[in-house]
Amino acid sequence: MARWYALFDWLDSRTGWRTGRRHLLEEPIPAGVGWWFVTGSVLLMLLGVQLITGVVLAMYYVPSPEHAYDSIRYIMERLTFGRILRSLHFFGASFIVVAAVIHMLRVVALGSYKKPREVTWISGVLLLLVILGFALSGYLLPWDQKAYWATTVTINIARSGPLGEFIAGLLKGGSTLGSLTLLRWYAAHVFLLPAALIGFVLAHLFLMRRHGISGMLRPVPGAPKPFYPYHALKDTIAGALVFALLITFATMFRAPLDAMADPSDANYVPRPEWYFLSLFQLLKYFPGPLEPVATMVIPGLVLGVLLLLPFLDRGPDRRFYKRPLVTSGFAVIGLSIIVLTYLGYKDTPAHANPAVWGPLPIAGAEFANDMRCQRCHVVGGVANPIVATRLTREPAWLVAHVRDPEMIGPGLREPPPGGMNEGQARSIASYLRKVRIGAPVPSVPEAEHRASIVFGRYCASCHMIDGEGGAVGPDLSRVGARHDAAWLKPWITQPDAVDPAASMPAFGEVLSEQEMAAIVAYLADRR
Amino acid sequence: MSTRDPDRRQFFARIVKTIQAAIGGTLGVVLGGSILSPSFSSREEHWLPAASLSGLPDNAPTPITLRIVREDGYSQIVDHRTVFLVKTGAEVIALDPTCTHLGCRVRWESEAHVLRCPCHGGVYDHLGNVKSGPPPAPLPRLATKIDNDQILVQI
Repeated sequence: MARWYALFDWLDSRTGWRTGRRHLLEEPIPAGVGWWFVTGSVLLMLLGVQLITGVVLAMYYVPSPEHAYDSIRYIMERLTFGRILRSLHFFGASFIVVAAVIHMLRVVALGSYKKPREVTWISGVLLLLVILGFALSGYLLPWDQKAYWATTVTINIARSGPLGEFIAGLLKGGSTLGSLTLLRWYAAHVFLLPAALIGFVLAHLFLMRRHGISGMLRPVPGAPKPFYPYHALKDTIAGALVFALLITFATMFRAPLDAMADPSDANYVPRPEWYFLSLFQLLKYFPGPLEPVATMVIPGLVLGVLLLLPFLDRGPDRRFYKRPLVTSGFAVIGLSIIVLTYLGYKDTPAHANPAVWGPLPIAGAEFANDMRCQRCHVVGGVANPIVATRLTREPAWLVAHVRDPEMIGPGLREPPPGGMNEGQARSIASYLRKVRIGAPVPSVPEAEHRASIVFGRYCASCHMIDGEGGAVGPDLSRVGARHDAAWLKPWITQPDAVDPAASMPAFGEVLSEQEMAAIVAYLADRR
Repeated sequence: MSTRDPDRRQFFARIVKTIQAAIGGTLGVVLGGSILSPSFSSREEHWLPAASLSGLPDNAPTPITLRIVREDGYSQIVDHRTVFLVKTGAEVIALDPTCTHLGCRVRWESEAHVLRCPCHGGVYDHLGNVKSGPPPAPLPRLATKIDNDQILVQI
């Protein structure tokens, strides 16, 4: 132990670290400063958690459209505690937005922004912008549907302002939203914004120490106490409670990951993260040429008022009821944000969970077990095992390959006897999409399994269910609402007996009795 | 300042440190698990068909290249691994061609009837035993089994 002290003494003689530590920890805190003043420390703790979880995520994350999604899945599914790691970072972002707003409201409520702390306030507002910048750039990174479409909308919003095309081009990095966009948003998220964050946090803390803590509205009698351990205890307890809440969230809930980004998907309805929902909702009230009012003017005005607040409200009185303009202004802005967020939330459509298996992928899993596939797609075989296949080809290629395997390398090897029909090909493609997003294979009742296989083999070439299948015949997703089993059975058996003009082929001779019963019951049940 | 103040201060400081250690410890477990787990995960092993027994010459290492799809972090890569199959009567051994000295790949020299490492001159006999040079151990052997004249190697 004595040796350690000698080493510390030597270090202190060369660096003066003990003086520095004393200066940091023994800040005199005026009497009466209580729990109101823990908000900044809680925010600092959350930013620290975000920083270190971000560093560990960066050990695995790959900023390229081909690999980003797979690398996130790897983090969540293969790393010990990887799911909690990503959830900490994901929910941590929301916690930080909430903590930053609470901290700001505390500063406004106690008038802490007033002279001489104007610059401290401005550095805080800039910090809030950096935090929102992190949130915005962070959600492109997983390269899932939400990431892709929300970013498309963000870039188009940027287009509506002055120098719009220039800024949109800057954000996009290339002619389309793609690898160049992802790389520059990644660079911003892990290099530029952290540098700005650390710079502004240091400036904010330096200014806070320079002017001292603003303290309670009326001085409380009593001698000041050192920050450590008296106020540090309150900070630590509050920080621990928030951290406990965060880790509970991260353990209980899984950070969402949509299906992989698909620029051709016309059905996806993008919605921003909750903290941008108010801006999203605001946009709806200013259609067409008025759009810049919602995207630029109103947010710009709010930001301008925030930045200039200490200069607009210069009176010395810090009591909030003596500053009716500021108090009511914040109440109006706050209430508007809450109401707009609520309206935006109510308007969010429930979109199909990509991890839920429809009939096509269930059938595809069965078809892919076929010897015609397993002949090449095995460990040590000429092609990757199907479960290890990363679906990188476009759907048309895949369907063509399944229908005619020889087309990938005519003459190179003996093709398997006979291809599959288009419905089976679509089923396998759909199955591979589920494999790609890591959706666990569901266990479905025997009847549904049989119906799925019938649908994949005989129906999917022409009909669609839940957005998957062919578009020649009608969509069967809700067919049960139009027809019951008593109508469906004769129709599938012999369509032209029901309607002489029917163009659908008859399946009475093709399907076994069991298969017919299964598909009829399944379709009648789809309402 | 009362006489109890230093005690109080020390007590508070201890609580602060304990809580901070608890937060740090929890984070440490999550981060440590995430950082360390891939380093200590085991590789999957597969039996791959390598050659037919009847087609192999006796007592002469024959290089066979095996194709294997292997996980590499978040992606799958196609790995090609060469093994030397040596038939000795009815038995077959599979030698990993990685020199036990510093990891170069050895070559079969049929005239000298030895496996030679091109890097530092390590020499092994046809069964992978060290004959001369720096290698500290014989060439590693891979498990083999024979199924209907088909030789399977465990990779």
